[in-house]
Amino acid sequence: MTYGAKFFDASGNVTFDSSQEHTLFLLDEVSIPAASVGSGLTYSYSGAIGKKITAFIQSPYGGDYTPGEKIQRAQISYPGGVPTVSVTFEDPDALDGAGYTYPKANGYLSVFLTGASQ
Amino acid sequence: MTYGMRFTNSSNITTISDNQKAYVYLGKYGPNNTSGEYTVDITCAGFPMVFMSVPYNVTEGDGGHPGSGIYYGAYIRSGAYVRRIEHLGGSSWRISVAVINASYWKVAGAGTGTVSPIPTTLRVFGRLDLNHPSGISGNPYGMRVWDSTGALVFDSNGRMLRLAGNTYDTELLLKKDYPGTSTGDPRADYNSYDTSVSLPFSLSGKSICATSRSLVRHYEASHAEYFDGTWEYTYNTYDWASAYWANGSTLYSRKVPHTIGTESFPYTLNISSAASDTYTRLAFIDDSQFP
Repeated sequence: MTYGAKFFDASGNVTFDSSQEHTLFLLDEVSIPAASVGSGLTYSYSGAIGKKITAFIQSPYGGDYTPGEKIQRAQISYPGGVPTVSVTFEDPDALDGAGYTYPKANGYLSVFLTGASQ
Repeated sequence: MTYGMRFTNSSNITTISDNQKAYVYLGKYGPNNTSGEYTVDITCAGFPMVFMSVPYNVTEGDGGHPGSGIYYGAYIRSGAYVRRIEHLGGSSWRISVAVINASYWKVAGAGTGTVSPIPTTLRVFGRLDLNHPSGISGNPYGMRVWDSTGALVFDSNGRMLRLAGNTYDTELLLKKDYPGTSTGDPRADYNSYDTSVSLPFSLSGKSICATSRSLVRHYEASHAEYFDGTWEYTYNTYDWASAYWANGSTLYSRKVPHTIGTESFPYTLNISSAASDTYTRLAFIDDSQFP
């Protein structure tokens, strides 16, 4: 580190190093009911163009637990340099052995800015 | 930005400003030596990011006790996963964790021996502005940043959510664990359905943020009976979970047994159908940074 700032706690541990890329800051968070996913949801962050993001999705999330339910998947892409998160169910219309579609789980998406460029 | 301050790193990325909300370490829960499922109630204003310690190169009991039941045999292996996060209301959350301890099942099968515990620890992070709106107490120095609404978005006295390595964009395949169209032994395919990802660091002393797919149920035809002009078809059911286990710099999603049972239907099942493969996102922290 040749410039920037480091912060330490009273024990001398580094709590933040402005030169590092791996500290995360919240960019967006959204609760996603299973029924709203449909063929997929897209979240774009044009204000963060050129920056690298990360995203986590907690699924299942919320109330009841249903064995066999599908969980939501979050994928990151950068079309035109705009950080974008897509939320889908894999193969949402797959049928179980009895010929019924699987139950689907709610999710909670958290999107973070990293300190890295794309 | 017409006021305030920015810190910019060598990639010309702003790392601290009044427009970015920090996530800070709120504390750890554990270690917990439970084998099986347990819950931990935590307090966090806003959604918590939960990291779980991973069983690291735990092989005690792998292979279980010789036998043919689901809790016996080679497919008994150890792993752990966060099963779900439930909002109880307000700032209260319940984290459900499942730990599959092969040594436990080995002892249960043999009727003798000693269970080697697999301690799991949860580390929780939350929004600074919601959990410490007036700042983190305890240190009378440092730096704080507020946004234009007066919300505290950075406090140098907090431990920021900081990943181990810059593996921001990692996914891991969670397979459906189904032996294709085979109607044979659904227990026999455990090993080839593991998936893994290699990281640029050792996973010793690391915790992961990852979801796990729900249980996958496999059917195995058992028998059919005829009652009052109607056929009833009975199947053995095998519920499998995807649990995490690490060795060296590789994280594995292991197929592990959960429950076994039977289920009957007035029709035959298409047992080649099954849930789809899916994926989890992954993140890693260094436990030593979050004591």
